[in-house]
Amino acid sequence: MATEVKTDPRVPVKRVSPAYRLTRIPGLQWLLLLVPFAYILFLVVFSIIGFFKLSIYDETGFTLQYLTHMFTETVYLQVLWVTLKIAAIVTVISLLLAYPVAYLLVKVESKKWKSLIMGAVLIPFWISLLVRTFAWTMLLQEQGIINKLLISVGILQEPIPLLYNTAGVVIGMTHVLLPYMVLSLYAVMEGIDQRLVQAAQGMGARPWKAFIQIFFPLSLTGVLSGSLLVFVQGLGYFITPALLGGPDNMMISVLIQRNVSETLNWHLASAIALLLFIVTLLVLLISFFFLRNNPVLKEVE
Amino acid sequence: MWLKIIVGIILLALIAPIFVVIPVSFTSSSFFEFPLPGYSAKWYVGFWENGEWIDSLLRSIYIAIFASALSTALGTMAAVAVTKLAFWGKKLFMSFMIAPMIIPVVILGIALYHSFAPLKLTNSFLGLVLGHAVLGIPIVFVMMIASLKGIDRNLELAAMGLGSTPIGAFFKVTVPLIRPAVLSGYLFAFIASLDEVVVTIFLAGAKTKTLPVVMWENLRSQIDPTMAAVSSILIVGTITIFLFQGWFTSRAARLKDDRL
Repeated sequence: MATEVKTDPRVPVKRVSPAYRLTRIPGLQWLLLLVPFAYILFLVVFSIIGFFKLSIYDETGFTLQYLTHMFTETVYLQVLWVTLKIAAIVTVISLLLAYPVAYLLVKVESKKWKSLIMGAVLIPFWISLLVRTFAWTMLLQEQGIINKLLISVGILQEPIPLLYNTAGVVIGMTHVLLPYMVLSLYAVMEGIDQRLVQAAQGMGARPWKAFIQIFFPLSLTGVLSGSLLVFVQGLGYFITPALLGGPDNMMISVLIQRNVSETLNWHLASAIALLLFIVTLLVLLISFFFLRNNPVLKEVE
Repeated sequence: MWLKIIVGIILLALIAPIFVVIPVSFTSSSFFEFPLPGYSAKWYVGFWENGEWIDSLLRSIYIAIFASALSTALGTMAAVAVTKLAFWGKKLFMSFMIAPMIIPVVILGIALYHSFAPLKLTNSFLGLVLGHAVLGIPIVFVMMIASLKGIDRNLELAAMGLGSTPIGAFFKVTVPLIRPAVLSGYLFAFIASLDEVVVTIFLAGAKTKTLPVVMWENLRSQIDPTMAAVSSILIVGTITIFLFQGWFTSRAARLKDDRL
């Protein structure tokens, strides 16, 4: 039996796509929240908890022997110390190099130059990490371009070792992490009202003094957030130290990987990883007090 | 003036080392000698004729296509939830989404291996896609939040004032406006997946080696100039994607200006 559908001729029939009709189900928008949350929860949180469990449980049951190893045998704290030291050196050098770049980026007026500088910072950022590390192994080796150049200019008499030592790791890591620093600084500097600096100059301050007393203090949030980003990433760095470093400056991530892939000591690896995780978390927690107005996390409240 | 010179030197130091590999890839020698003894394209031929390199390159691209689609979907959902919904613990949720960026990758890689192994997901295509997607989520999430914040809230309010439902306004007004950002997010997640090494070293097996894993093994043992040829291809490829993305966003911005 055919039923006649009554439609009001004055109202045009709206075609609604099925996907759109789905959104009428009440409460469905919470899936937006729950699906990504569940993904991260299962793949990241549960996985990491599962891995860290290995540091306190082994075949014999609950044990603290792996964690006490961390403090009774000097090698682990020593590796942690080397890691902290390298991350700190890399942070300071990146800051010194990135500050003028970010400063010029806010100062320069021509749009063309701005995007050119930005491109110069971003292109290395997106080029494969392995490619960049490989390029450095070629440049830094004993018969490499840098040594040859320095000898031909007359600065060096004979090649100096730049690879498989701390210098190599620091150079490679700074190169990789510098763009993060530039972007963090730029994000904050861009928000600084340039008229404040002009006002200071208008009232008789020398440009240099106006920079030190007005601009620099205002840019400190960027200095802090950039330094933290670089330092925290530096702590967990793996590829560059594994390829450019030597046995004397092993970083903690490399030690963890060796315990898993070479000596197959998962419990020890888990204990070292826990140490690295806690140190990273501590650095972040301390920073949390300084960084309540991080540009990424701000405003969305 | 001094500032410009200093910045010029810094930027040169940032860029020049990368491009050194391009001339080196045309060396005729089997070693890295400087200056180059002669020119030849044999390393490119070697790359093309070597099954392992080509297979791993194709595998990397397949994985990146799916992994970045997954991270784009999940990252965008999370960003929309944060900007459109009101809920308790928003800050905590955000740090959750950014967590894969902050947790040391080695820990993440081993942890994923540890929970994937009993599920038979290691040494599998699916496992690599799921793992790479984890790392892409924060990239897309941060980009989408920035894009969603930049949209004038009044446009949606105007649509609702004209009789649209909140959800209808979202689909008809906001979605077209964030489309370019979704594409950029996808591209960045794609490049990140293509270049992922650390998690992949742990998850990939003999049959699922991606290009970065083959490069990593090459760098660890015998480095031959094929590595320079592969690197040059990747550099040119990345810059092409990058330029395309820049062109696309600037075109989208122009179109938006024209329409308004």
